[in-house]
Amino acid sequence: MQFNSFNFYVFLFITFTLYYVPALRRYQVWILSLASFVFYAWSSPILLGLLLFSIFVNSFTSFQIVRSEKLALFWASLGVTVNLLVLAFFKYGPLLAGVIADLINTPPTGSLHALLVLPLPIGISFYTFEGISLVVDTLRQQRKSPGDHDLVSAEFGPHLVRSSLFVAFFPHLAAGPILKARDFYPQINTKFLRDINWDFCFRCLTVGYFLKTVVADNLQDYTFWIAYPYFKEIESFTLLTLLFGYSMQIFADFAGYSLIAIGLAAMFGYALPSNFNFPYISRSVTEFWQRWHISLSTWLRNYLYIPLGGNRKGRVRTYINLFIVMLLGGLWHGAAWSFMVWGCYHGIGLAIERLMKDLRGGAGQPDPEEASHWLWDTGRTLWVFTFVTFGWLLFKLPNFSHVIEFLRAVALNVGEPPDLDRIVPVWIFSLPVIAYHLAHVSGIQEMWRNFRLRARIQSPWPRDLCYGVMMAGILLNHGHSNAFIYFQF
Amino acid sequence: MAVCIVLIAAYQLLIAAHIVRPSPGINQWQSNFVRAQQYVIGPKLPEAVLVGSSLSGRLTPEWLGPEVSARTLNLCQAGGSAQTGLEIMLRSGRTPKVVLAEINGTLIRGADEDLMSRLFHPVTSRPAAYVAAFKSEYQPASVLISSYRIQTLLSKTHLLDWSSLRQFLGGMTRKWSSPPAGPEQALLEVAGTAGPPKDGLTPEDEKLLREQIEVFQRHAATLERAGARIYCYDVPGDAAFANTAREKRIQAVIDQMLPRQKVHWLPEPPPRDWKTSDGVHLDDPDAILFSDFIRRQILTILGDKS
Repeated sequence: MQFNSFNFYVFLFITFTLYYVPALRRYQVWILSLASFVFYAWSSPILLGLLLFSIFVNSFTSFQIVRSEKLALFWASLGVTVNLLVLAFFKYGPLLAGVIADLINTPPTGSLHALLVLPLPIGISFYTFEGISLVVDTLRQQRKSPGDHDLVSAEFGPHLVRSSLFVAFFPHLAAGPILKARDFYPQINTKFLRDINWDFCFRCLTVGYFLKTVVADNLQDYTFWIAYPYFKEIESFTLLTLLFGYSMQIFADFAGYSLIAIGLAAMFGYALPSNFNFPYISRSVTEFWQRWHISLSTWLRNYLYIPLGGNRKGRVRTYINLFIVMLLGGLWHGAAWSFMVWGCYHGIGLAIERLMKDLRGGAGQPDPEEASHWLWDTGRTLWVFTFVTFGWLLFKLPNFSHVIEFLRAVALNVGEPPDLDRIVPVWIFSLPVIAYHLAHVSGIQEMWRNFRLRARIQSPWPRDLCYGVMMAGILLNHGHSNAFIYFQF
Repeated sequence: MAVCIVLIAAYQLLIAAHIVRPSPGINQWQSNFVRAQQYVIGPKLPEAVLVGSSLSGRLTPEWLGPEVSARTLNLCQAGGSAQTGLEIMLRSGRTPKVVLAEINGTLIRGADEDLMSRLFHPVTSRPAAYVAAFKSEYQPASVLISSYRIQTLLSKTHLLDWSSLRQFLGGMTRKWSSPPAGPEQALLEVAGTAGPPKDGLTPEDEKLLREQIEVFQRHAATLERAGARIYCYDVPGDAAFANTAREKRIQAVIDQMLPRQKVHWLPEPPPRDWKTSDGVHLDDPDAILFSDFIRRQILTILGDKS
């Protein structure tokens, strides 16, 4: 069920109504969990079984960690292993089956064929990571302060119900933000209609739906032509514009989804973490990963980078750790060479930046508060944007040979006039993303503040006008209702 | 919310005052939907309708002439087939007098269910029927791109995005590191299929084609019972392309299931060496010639002399 479908609006209305009916207040967690199961099962009922299995495994192992101090590590390892095995089976099973089929050189039949056509369950990458977060956070809490069990209830039944909500909560189920158990569990309590921050919900939902339905869904009609073999004849500048458009699209799609998820969760009284912080104004790759898919990067930092040693084991080990984390982060996105190369690409970028910082004695990282020349900052921002944008090519073309063909087309298809049929619409639909980012550049914010002071603009009419235009855009200029890009992960 | 309502109301007023002109669509998907919406909720039901793919979508109102264009709607769907057009007619409950259906291998694609679900959604499609601002042809960005000076810089072809495809296969003089694609490979790349079939049409595709022709026959029979006259035709193309194993097999299946003795077919266009830009889409001069042929056929069918 997509957030921008009519079915979802009906589902949301029913769930919201039932949730806040006073007579049903004590069943709020149940209502939300069951609604989330309905949400997940809507498109693929059979895969609901997998979600329930994941919830059970994570609930059971985390419960056992608290019950049995001596076997805590065993239960934690079991929980993490089962999560990773499930993820590996569904994500990499088809790839493995394909390799085996090629090796034995016969058409795949039986279980091999079943593996090849195995569908990737929506959200599996997200909810298995959350399951791991629950298990690991429980173990850490158990070790730090045994007996202090704010994550795990005294009885298994209530713990299972709370864990169901944590894993399956529908706003974030399909594509994050990836929640951490220690941040979400304390929020599980009775919610009241009067406590909803409607202004916050409205802002998140309006911006989220605008980015998704007006920007991303319209850009999709142009970035379609980056697919093989269509790009082979397209002129170079047009190809680069389409790639730029894809960079805008993937941000609008994913950030839009995250904002919708945050707004929806707030309607039910839950605070989800911010997932994007205007990543395209980053002045370094390191800063980019502090602003892009924040919930994934913090998960990787907390549950992979730091356990690997982080930056505490010397310089070389730090670079290796960065590379490993990004490589695995790339593989998390999908079982294709392109994703692994994408992970390596960013890993190398991060490692080189860290090396340069170390060579300069730690002064290389941009300090957001540091007053640096705007030209230098602009140059760095453009460089990082270019680096990241070319990386997105590996997302758009999972077949690595097509990536090479695309780059060859960019290099060779010069001399023809640019295709304005495509260039102009891409720029028009990209403008909101550009404006969205520029509005959060500190220099521009300061200029606006000074202007408002001088012009004595005190009322919020500029903001109201922006939101009014966005709402009108959603109603009048939405694109096709396409699935969210990150649903495929 | 108030600002939003005011903006929409103001935009609707501009449309009603004919200050804002409709856009034919700025990409193939939008063009497809605009045409479909024009048929379903347009004020006037056309007397004749063309249904098919981008091959017939090339036949612009300018080339068909004002007399025919005023009475005809080109409901062809780029990337689609005649099935989509017939489905639209059946679901809308609006039946024209004459339907010209493009019959060829594009039938394999079947009807565009995604377009159908958007066009006929019981709730979300309703506002456009009453408030023009919600119609696809009045989407502000499309209107902006189509209307201003920018339009003079854009291609004048009716299906803007297929210009790239024409260039792709028409670029035989371009320097490539690999040899230029032959017509069969070109079709397969256009159709998005994996690799060249060893013996013409694959068994799976032939089964699909037969099933889709049966669907076409059922739809056509329903429309004929409702009062429409259905005429089949095909768009001529590159002779070398028509002589590929796949195309020959497709033609054989069509001749077997839709024989001229039992189904109304338009007469063949005047024989000539038809020129295409990519093996399938007629280039402009030949598209104009074919449009003239179709124009005369429509006028004859509607009872007017050409």
